[in-house]
Amino acid sequence: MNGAMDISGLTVQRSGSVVVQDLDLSLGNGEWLGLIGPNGAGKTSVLEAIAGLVASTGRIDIGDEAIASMSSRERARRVALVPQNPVIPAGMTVIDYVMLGRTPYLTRLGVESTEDVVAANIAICDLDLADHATTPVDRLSGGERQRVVIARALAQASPVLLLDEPTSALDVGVRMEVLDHIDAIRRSCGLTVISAVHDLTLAAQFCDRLVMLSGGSIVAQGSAEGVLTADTIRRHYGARVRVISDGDGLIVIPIRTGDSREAGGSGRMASHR
Amino acid sequence: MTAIPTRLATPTRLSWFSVGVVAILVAAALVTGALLGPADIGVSQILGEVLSRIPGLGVESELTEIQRDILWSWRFPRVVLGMMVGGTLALSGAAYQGVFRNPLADPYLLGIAAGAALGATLAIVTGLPAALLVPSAFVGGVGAVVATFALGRTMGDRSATTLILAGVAIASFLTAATTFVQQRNSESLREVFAWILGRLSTSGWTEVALLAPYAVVSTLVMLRYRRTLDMLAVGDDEAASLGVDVNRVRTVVVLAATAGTAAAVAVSGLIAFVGIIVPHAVRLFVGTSYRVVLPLSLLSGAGFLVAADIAARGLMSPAELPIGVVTSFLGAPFFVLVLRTSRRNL
Repeated sequence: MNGAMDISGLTVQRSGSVVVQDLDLSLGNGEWLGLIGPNGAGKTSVLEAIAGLVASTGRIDIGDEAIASMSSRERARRVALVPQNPVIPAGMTVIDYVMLGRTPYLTRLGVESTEDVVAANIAICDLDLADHATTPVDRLSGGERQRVVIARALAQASPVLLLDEPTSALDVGVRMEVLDHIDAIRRSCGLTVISAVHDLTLAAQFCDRLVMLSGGSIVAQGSAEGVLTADTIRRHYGARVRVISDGDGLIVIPIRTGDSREAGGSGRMASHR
Repeated sequence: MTAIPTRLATPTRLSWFSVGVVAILVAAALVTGALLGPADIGVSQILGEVLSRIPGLGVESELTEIQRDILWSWRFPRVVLGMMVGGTLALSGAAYQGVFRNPLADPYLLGIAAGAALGATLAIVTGLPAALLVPSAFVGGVGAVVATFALGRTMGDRSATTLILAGVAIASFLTAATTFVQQRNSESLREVFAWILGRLSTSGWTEVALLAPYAVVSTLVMLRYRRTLDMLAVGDDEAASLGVDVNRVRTVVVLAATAGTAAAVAVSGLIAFVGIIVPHAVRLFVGTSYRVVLPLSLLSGAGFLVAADIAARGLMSPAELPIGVVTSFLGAPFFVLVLRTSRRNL
């Protein structure tokens, strides 16, 4: 299934306020697009609009089909979402949790086929979780849990994977491990990935292309080198950074300014006080 | 990098072993319930009587006409009704817990039983035909669950504690309304009280026939959605992203559970805590998947209420305790236990 995506004129309102305005985006099949931007920029709203979780206007096409014309089951076969704070039901085993990803393929009576069980097991193996298949998810470590959530999304076998800050709660080692897993699977399966990312260095290292949102609109897009400049980050994040480019990619280092030391915070925070 | 699993892990499924164990316990409760009573009728006599009713077997019953009448007019309808009411209440409790993702959801704590009781009381005092007793209870139950959730929402959060407090408030109001209706219709007071205190002791095949269609339909609907309840466990947004029509599922399951509860309340009166005790006990043995919890709650609830009825008949023999007293004695401490163990989720 083709994961190429076209978004045109996407607008999302929440509680009467426009949080995403007239957004246009195109993604090629197998591309990894990183959505970056300060808090409240509209990153999560874009992902939720694609997943059909919030009302939106505009048009979103996956392959050549508009998702507005799809049933919720059909849409779930094309788009899988890894939320920022997934709910882990107490006592649910890894295999039962990953099987939830096969929901859009079950019969109307909720019966699973052997193919569904095999697909869930493959996703579990892909994320190196085979030894934990019958363990309750809530007994696993943070990194293992996050891999279980990604395995559920992979079991959905959809061509588009949406990641909402998938590693924000993990330490740097586990974070790299999880993102490396996603990247390897993306390359082998031709998955199209859109991820909201706070860590700009990781965004630069893993994403093919970056889109910076601010106030619900695109303010910069392109390669990491083109988007992640000290000036753009200062303007939209209100932070001073040093951007270093070496053989391992782009590295964004925040710099504590004299002003923020004295005031005990950044300029953006200070402006809210 | 697709890896090939060397051994397939299988999702949680209902095992024949667990069904067999529960079925044996239910059968033991049924037989004990049928044996209990002043008239001395043995197991072999009961078995012979049942087999004699099956054409073609040629088995002769050893019972006298009076014994036969006691068995078919008193003991059998009592255990059958207990089984149906217990199964329906336990299944409904488990379904409410799944659909509201709340371990304390229960037909009584959410005010549904009080709403059904008000509906049934109004039907009795206004002299509606018996066939309208259950529909009246259903309307009262639906009204109560809607009021509980509307009140819970206005309190600003969706925690279990808020929901229970809203349920307690609605149940108190509806119970007061029921009492007011009873006081205003003293000529029907005896009939209403007899019903409220539990009717297993005076029940017959009429009550079984009244409950049966509602119990069967609501049971089939709830069991149909047992896997979907596992999906709802990850939250509305995640379930929706998996392709589940959350609002439709919630509406259908709540209506089915409320219809079952209302019908059970209409024929048996107020029997509390079955919907909490049984599903939580089942979870202790077989885990949390609703695919297993729902069918086993149905079976276990059937056996539990028959056993509670046996206790109600035997504890202060020859006098009988109302069955609701027995379930409340067991349920209140159980509720505290569940509340303590689920505090971190509230």
